[in-house]
Amino acid sequence: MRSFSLFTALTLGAVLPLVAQNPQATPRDSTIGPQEVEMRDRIQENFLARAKEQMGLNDEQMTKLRAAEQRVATKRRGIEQEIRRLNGTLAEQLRPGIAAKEDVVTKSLDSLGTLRVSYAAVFKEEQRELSGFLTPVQRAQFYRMREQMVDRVREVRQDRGGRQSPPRQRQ
Amino acid sequence: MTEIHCELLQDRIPEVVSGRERWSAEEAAHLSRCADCATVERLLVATSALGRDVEARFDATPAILRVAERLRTEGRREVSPVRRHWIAGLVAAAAVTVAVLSWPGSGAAPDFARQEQSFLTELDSLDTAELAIIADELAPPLSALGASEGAEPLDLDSTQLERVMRSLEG
Repeated sequence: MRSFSLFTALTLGAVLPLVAQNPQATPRDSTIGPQEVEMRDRIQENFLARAKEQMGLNDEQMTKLRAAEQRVATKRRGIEQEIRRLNGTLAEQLRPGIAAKEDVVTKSLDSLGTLRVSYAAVFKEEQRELSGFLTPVQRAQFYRMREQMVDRVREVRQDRGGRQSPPRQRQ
Repeated sequence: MTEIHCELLQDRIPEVVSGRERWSAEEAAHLSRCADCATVERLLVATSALGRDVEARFDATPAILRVAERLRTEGRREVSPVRRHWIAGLVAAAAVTVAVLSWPGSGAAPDFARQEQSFLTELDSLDTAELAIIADELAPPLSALGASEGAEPLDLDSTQLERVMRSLEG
């Protein structure tokens, strides 16, 4: 149980900063184009193909993994969107030279705390579901792959504004 | 004999020239003696004759009818506030229709289902160029490209060869 809490904390530490540290990083679903859809699909399919190879998954595990992750993603995406909205509210309230509305700030922070708990609950739910068809080692491998993806997305986003990212060794 | 004042007489010259009034004997005598009043009279007689032949040839009735028709036509083009609202509504509806029809995908409805299929939610905030970076780095494994173990290198397509080269480069 203790190791699971550490596992949860690690994941939250890896994923949530992507959302929390960049209030301007609004999701692009409202303006997504066919090219972006195609690239997201391609990234996901390549990610799953790598997972299958590295984790040694069979077809049945692959089908279950895809379905489980899609279910979790729906919940996760909703939480992340709300976190982005609240971060935008906080950024608005903390603009220099403008007095912040304390009740708005308090409510936003309280809601952010609730959302972080919800995020952890979704992670626990995901692990519980994955444990139904993945071994602990496979779950850990999948967790590491997701963590690497989140890290790389964070690096790419930090390179926004014309900075070039250091060359990264291909996996 | 009544004294004739030049100023008063000159004020009456237009009326007399137009035929609405006539000079009295005293006024006529004054005009024959006063060079200034005679000059003004000749000037007004001359100017009153200008364009008289144009006026004689100009048929006012058709012109009036054309002007009236033009005013009616222009009046119809004037958009009432109620019509403006209808037009604005139609323009908005057209804009929505165009937006829906030009939404990515072949169908008229937004492709929400495909968006939900992506479980890598961290990709949501990346733009096209950033997605391309990730897509380029995350190439499919060789096993997913369908290369069999016994295949000769020359049997590989360009993508497979590129993957082999990458793996050799480490």
